[in-house]
Amino acid sequence: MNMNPLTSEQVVSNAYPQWLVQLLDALFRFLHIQADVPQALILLLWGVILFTMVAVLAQVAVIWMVFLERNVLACMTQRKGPNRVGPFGLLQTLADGIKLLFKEDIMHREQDKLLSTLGPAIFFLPCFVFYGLIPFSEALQGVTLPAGALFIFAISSISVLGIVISGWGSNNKYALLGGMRSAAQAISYEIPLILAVLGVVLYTGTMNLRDIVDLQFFAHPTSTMEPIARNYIGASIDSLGAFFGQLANIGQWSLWRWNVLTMLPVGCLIFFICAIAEVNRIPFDLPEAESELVSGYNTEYSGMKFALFFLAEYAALFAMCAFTVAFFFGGYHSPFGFYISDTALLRNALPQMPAEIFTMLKQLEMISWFTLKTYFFIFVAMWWRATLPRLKPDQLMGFSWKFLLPLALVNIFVITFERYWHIAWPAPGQAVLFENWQFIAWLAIALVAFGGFAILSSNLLNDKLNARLSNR
Amino acid sequence: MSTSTQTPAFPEIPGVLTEQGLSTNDLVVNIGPQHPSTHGVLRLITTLNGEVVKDMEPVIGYLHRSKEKMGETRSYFQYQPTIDRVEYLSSFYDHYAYVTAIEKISNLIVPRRVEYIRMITMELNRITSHLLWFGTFLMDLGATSPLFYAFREREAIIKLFEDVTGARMMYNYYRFGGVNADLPVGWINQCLKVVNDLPKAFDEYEAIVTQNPIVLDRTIGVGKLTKEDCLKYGVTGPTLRSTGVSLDLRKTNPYSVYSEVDFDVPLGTHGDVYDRYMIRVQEMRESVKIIQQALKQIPGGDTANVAQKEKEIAEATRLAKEQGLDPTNIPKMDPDWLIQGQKVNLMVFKPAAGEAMSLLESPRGFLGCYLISDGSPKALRVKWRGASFSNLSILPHLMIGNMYPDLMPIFGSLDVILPEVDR
Amino acid sequence: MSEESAKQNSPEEKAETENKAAAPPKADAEKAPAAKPAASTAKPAEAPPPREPGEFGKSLEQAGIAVTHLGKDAMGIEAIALSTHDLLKGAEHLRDKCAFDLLVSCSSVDFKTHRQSVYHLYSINQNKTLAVKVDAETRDGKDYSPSVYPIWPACDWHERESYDLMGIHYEGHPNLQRILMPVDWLGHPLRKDYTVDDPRLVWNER
Repeated sequence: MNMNPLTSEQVVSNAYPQWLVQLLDALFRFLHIQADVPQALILLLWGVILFTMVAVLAQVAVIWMVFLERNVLACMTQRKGPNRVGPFGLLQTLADGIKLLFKEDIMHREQDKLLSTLGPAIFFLPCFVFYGLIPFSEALQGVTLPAGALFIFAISSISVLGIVISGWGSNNKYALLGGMRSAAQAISYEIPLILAVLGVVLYTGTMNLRDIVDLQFFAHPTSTMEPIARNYIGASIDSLGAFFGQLANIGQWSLWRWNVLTMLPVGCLIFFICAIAEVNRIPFDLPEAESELVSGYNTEYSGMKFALFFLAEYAALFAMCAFTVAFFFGGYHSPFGFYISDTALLRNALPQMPAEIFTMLKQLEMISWFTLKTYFFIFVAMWWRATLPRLKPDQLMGFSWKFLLPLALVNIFVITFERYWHIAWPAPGQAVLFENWQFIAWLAIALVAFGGFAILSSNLLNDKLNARLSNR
Repeated sequence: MSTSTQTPAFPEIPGVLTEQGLSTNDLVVNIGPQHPSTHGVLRLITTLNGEVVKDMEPVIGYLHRSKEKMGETRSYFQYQPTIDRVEYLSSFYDHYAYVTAIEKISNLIVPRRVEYIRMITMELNRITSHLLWFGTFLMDLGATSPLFYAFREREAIIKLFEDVTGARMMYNYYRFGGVNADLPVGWINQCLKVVNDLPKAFDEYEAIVTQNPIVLDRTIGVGKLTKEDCLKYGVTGPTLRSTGVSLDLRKTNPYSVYSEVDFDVPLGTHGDVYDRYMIRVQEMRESVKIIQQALKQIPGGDTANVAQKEKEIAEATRLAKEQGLDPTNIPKMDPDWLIQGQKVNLMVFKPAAGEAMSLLESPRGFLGCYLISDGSPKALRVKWRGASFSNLSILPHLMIGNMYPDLMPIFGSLDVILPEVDR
Repeated sequence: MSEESAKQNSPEEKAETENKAAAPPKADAEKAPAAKPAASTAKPAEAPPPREPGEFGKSLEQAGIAVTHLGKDAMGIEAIALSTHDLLKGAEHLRDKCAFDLLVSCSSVDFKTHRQSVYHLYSINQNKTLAVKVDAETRDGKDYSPSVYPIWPACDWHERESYDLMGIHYEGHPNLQRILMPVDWLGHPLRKDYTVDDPRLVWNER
């Protein structure tokens, strides 16, 4: 079976652009170097340029997120938030960053200099590697790995090492406790996280993030895994009437092909909860529990090293929300089934424009959709922060091992059946009974599995509650 | 407290495999004196086994400002402003204890209007104190928003205090046999408006906190106490009432005019953190009830009435003088309406010799002021019995065997104010 | 623990003796406190006015415990005085027979001639308060008083505070250490002879 339906003509080539070759050629001629421009140099340089772009993007995203978070929290707690530096306080985070940059890097005598310096770097690195993997749009993705999903989780577990190392290297008891908590938490939550993604991988049949995203747009509603029917409808929209008609035709929206709605709502829930736990945010912010551990693993850090932790946390939050969007919410694709910037209507209205402009506009729209969805989840994370108290370590572990892990297994169990029978949701109007007995059987299995889990776990919860009440 | 943990002569080397398994060391964490959740300057020498507390020894005294010695070296009136600092979150109570002790020793008359004003301000102060506790308690649990919500209401009440006393924190409002000044005109209606809005705000708090599953998980069954434990450590106030003991001095030994208002004493059944939380929230509602009644019953009503009456009397006196009428027929001010029972020259004030222990129910429990006067302008002895002092002493008992993260709900639920502990 | 306290006490004692030499008592001119403590046998100048026995004083008397009745204080709280010898017996009686289950506070008062501990008790069942006063015994220039820790463990921190600030040694207290002042503080600040020009402050303010 063709597991990777997006072949070379779909995947935007990662090869370097020609202008870079010409630029280097000119440079070589200027320097009187007689050799041809080596291929390796171009590739390397292009990689560096891409990564720099992504890194800058990440920084900007973090700065914006900090500002957003402060304002969202302020709004939710009836305060004003930053409003002094720059218009609407927009430059506040920049000012804070500059302050942190110039702050003295205080290290006490008993600190392990090497480890405590390495810690932030190790913590920081994976969070930015993520940015190279995030598919912002068809064209804007640092690197399209065939095993992208695998790589993400291989990388994400490294950042925990950074926390543990800095917790140990700080030679501070709070930091040590924070580091140890972080290790325990990461181990507990990585497993349901990966199992949730395993569900996605089973369902879509690919580990390539780009493919996972595209499958949620192009796949026909009646066949999730058949080679993609390219039913892109943008070309048919040539008038405002058609535009609004398509917009009103809710049944045709690609929204309904998002993984979260087709097969994986449970997986999505598990993934997002675990993602929040991965990035140590309330209610899972035990490693830096302010009221208990002062500041946890970053208690002894100041200046730019602290800023690295700070940056990396927000970068990781952005990345995790971005992955939630990519895996479950259609990635960079529009929910309507067509792109507003890629319709015949727009092309006809602006006939003089070169085609590249429209391509660019489409990419920009994709980036916008992606960012919009991502920021929605970031907002949800901030909302949680304003609402929920912190869990206790044992409750945190219990929640992961006793609830999320079994649920993720049940989820995989159900998806396995779906894959085995090649189940697809029936198209509207298609007869369900008898012709599609597998669907019925699968539906029954899914109902029994999830329902059984729900009953079982609620019984267990009730038992726990009763035990707790009687033990009061 | 207990120095039971014996330090071995040679510390075990952690990570060495012995016959009993992997040898480990206990972690001694010095929580405080500066720590986000010690609510002041408290040091807890905590021995942790993993995250389980094996031993805990509170070290206090970092905030000792020798308030009791100051009481002996200053005249009664000079000492009064410093009382606010004994316990700055509910300083009306400290003032009340001190002022009542002196009034009782020297038999000063306290008009009923004054007692009502005192009761209203004290109950408002109970609400502000509990609101601050509510915010910081949930802050300790990791929830940041309730603090701001609580401060929103607290601000409204503090504005009321500011109107009455001129200060937001250190009120210094009560005087021997009276209060510093009468309520501002219109204050009673203003107060009634604020107070009537409070239950809605409490509903809002409860909506976000009381049924929150994480809050329930972290508070139910945590830090359980029995009546015997409380008595063993001299714990009073909401913490004692959470075990089901109905001991509220406002009800059992009514002082001021508490016998003239109707209110309930909320009781718990299990003595855990959740019960203490619920009791405090309900106490705020009861305080609202008390204030609402008191604002209706206060003799003289709004200050405008009193001023009007005063004017009438002055007018009548003037007329009587002009016309040479019998001055006994002039209408007299109702003694209940006054804000000073009798003139006291504060600068040379000497109460009679005697002693008094004035006990009252502060937001944290029993607050006592033991005052001995030898007839001189300075007290022979002023002893403050703060509820926090005894309430804090139970902390090791509650914490040993619990997990370290339980320290925050447990310590928070005791509502300890360190200045009151150290004085 | 005992070693520790012994260590702590040694410089303190030294300083106290020094202080006695340095600052002679100037209290003679001042009037004696009018609120007479119970066992005012030390002061024969004024005879204590007769006080009618209170409810709990009577109960103690019936149990054969020597009590000095002190009437009621200004708040209407009954006050009695017990000798150091009878304190524990009386306390046990008060707890078991008179249901005084809550120790509210332990205060200490310096009357210049002697030091006194005042225990305020509260009975949850009867809603009544009682003040029990005990004059400390002076031996070798130090004040001693029995600890009521076996009866009311709640006195733990209160007695430590009294020891710390007034220097009354509570015998039988399990952990009699300074609580508010630093462990190596010299002198007991609430005593009347401890003033701002106390020479010990030089050491304390180091």
